Amino acid sequence: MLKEDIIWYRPDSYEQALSIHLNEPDIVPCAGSTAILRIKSKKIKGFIDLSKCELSYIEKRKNKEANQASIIIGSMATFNEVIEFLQKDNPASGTFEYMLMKALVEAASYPLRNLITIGGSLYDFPLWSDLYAPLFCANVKIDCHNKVFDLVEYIKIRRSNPHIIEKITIDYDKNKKYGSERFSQTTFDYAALRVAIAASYTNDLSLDSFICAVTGTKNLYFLDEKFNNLFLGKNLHNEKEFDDILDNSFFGFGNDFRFSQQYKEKMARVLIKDIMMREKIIIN
Amino acid sequence: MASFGKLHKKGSMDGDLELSLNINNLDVKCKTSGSTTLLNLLRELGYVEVKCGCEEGACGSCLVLLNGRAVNSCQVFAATVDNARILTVNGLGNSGNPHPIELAFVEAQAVQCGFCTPGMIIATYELLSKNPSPSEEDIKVALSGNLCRCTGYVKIIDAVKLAVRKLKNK
Repeated sequence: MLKEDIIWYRPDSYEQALSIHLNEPDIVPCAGSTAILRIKSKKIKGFIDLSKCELSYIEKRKNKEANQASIIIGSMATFNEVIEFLQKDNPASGTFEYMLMKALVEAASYPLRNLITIGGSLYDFPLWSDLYAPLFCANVKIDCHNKVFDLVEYIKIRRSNPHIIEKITIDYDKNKKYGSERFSQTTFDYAALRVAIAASYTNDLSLDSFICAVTGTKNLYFLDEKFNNLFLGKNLHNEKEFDDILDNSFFGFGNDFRFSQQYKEKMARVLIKDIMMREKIIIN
Repeated sequence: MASFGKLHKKGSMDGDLELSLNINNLDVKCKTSGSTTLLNLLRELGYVEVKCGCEEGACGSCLVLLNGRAVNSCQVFAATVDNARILTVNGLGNSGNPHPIELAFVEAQAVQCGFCTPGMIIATYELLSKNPSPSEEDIKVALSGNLCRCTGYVKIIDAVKLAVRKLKNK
């Protein structure tokens, strides 16, 4: 239960918000409020309302290299704001924009997506996160005022170091194929797992880059360079080789009240192959 | 520390957090406590058309428009809505002068117990404000956060389609 006498601060800038939080880490930033209302921690002494800190911006930036692009998202941008921003360009299936947009649409019901923010979701990283797997497929920098973390670093420090996310920068390769799928009991139920893939191939149709990220595992996520390297050099027409790698894969799921560990392992393999077939990373 | 608004001082009495709101086009000043949700505040103020269902953002019966966006009011702290515009279903129309969406729900027989209806109408209102010609898929996505345990959704989707026609002919 939250304390009744909770304090509210309404700073006008990110710097003010950060200084309050650094002075007293139990006064916590309130972004979309959905996670805080789920957790309702007694430890919380107060809330910092970030709505006046002008952190709701979203912009796309063209990079010097023709095949690179960036999206910069302020931490208070809601899922629906990001979806509407991405929708403007009507992205095609297989692009990073489409993968991120689809994952955010599937993350929650429409009115909840009007509340859930990018910053809050990155900090919270629940087991059912729909945000993290697509982000693992790009180069993501999380900006926490003079300190910039990549995703893996951020996950490690997020609970122990008082901070407030200012913005995230997503750099991605426009020439890669991207895809993501989730598995859940019903459409808007919490995801039991989510997989995301980024891949590119050479002119002779062999894979020259491959990233597979899986969330919902015992360790929250699975991202293994050794596993990804198994796919490199494989020809897109050689379905059997991909099947052999996937059949021997293990992502580290646990049992839960809905699905067994074995079932989730199998579903993750099926979804990865589905994406690879759909995005023509496997051609049969 | 810099001079910025501290809304509620630690140790003070419950309910001394002052808010100025615009609810259904009326300016309202009220007091509440720091842990109160917008849902509870609205109901305490008498806006009982905002229904209290699951209180975890799953059922959509507490939907209101907050600055033009449909949100689950059970998932919003009242403290964060100072100076906000809030629209409940009673702000759309009344029994003497119902809104075309409300009429559509009645005519399509999309109401049984009626508990989910205020949320359904608010979700429909936001959808049709942004997209006057939604596809059936658009309707299903817009109503994805609204549960109904009586009608089975077919008549609700029919009602939204009827509301589209009514608003076009208005």
